[in-house]
Amino acid sequence: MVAQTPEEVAREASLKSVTANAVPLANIVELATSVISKMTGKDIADKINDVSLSRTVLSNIVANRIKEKVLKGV
Amino acid sequence: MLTKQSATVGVGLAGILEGSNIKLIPKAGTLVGELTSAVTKNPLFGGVCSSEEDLVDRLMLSSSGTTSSSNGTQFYVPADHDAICDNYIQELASICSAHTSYARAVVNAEVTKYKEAVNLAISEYRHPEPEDLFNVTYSKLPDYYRFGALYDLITSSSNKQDNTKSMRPDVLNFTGVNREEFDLVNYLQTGDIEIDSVISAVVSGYGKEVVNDWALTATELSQDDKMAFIDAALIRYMFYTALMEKNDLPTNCSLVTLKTNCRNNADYYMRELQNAIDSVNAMTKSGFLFNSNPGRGFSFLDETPISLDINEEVFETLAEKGYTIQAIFGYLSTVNSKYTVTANELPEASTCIDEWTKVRTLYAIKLHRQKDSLVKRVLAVEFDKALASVADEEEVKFNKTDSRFAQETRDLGYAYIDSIETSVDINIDEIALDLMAKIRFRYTNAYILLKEMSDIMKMDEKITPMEAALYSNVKYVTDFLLEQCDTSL
Repeated sequence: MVAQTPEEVAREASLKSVTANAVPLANIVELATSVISKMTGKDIADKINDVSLSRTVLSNIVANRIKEKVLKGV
Repeated sequence: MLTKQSATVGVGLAGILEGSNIKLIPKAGTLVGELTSAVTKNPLFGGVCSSEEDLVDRLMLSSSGTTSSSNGTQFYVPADHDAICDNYIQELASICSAHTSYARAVVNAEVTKYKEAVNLAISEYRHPEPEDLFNVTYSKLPDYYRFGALYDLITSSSNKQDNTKSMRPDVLNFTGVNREEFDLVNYLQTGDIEIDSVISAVVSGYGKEVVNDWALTATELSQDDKMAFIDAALIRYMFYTALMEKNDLPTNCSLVTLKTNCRNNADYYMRELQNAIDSVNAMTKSGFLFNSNPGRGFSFLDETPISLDINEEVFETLAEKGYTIQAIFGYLSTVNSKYTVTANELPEASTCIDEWTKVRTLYAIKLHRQKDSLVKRVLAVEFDKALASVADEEEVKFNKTDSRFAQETRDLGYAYIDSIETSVDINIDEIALDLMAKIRFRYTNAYILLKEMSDIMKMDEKITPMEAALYSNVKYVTDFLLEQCDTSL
């Protein structure tokens, strides 16, 4: 067994921590994006500034809201 | 399954949180909790990830179903993750759509209606100007009582009077006269164009009904309105004089009695007319300026209107010395003012005007103080009106589900209105949103959605309501899902 360098240990710990948060976060992004996508066009806009709303744009808006809520608590 | 986009964004976000040492722990039994365990319990997710890309791949793989084949046909076997997502996404979308639709179509309509009603009520309310608290009339003895044919008639009739007689008028019964059809102007025609035109002007000035009443009744008139008193005496004199000659109205009197009574009444009203004219002339000569009713000075603390009957001739003389109507108001505002005043009793014009300026300023301060309570009163009145006409959609809530709901809503609304800070500018838009969406429709999520929309639209005036609804829903749905996680540091 090859001994890990301190950097490798830190990297592994970091990835482990990222993994723990990534699962719920990916699910929240997936759910929110899918739900909003299904709503667009009727009660909410399906485009922003005349540009059609893609899932990529939508998931980024969701990600921004997550950052705002989790990091700033607003 | 998780799309690559969601997995990548999720890993990216997790990396950002890593720097803040924040840990999200999905709550058991929640949707996010179920989806998270659907991924983590998959054996494909086990082991240590080598990189973020590896993590993205694993997330996708462990949330995906498998492909199987049977009798040469391939088919997709959904993973637990797929089953959960399929069940909830459509349902959540439908619920959120319904909330948004209700918030915009029903709640926002009520917010707008309330806001418009409050703004209209406030704009329609006009604080009275201090000048409005005086009902000013100007009296001047018409020239036809001073010279001309009518004056000559009055003077000559007066000279012929027997002043020992008729201390009161004889009452004749004119109930047989059809007042609607009785043409008084025509009845009083004398043939003298000047006198007839005066009679015609008096009748049209007061109205046929009033003047007919003067002629056909013996009702004693108040001398507060001196000019009306004089005109009434004239009409009555003319009427009894004409009746004495014509004898053509049903009175149930013998001819002799009728003529005697008419003579008596004509004399009586001529004397009344002459006395009233003399009185007015004497008052003018003595400089009598006005009578106020009620007989008190003006105070900006008491908004009961004061009737002020000003002698126009005297006032014209005072105007040449710089007195304005505001000077008269100023005089009435002084502590020692009298309610019957002659011209020489007034202080200097400038003193009176300065007093009025001072009173006006105090009154303006008082109005400013009243403004806040006025707005609160309007808010409460319009709130009550709004609750009295509940939308069809909330009829059940107000009338059937909970009998206390309406009262509780009222109590919450009043408490909110009471708590409004009036020392700062009042924002009716925000108040309407709070009272209608947050309090009246508190059993819905409308306030959360509408408040967010309102805030977004305030930030960028180019943004459309549909776009604002999009951002509002992103926040609403994302927050709803995030609340399914505990956060620890």
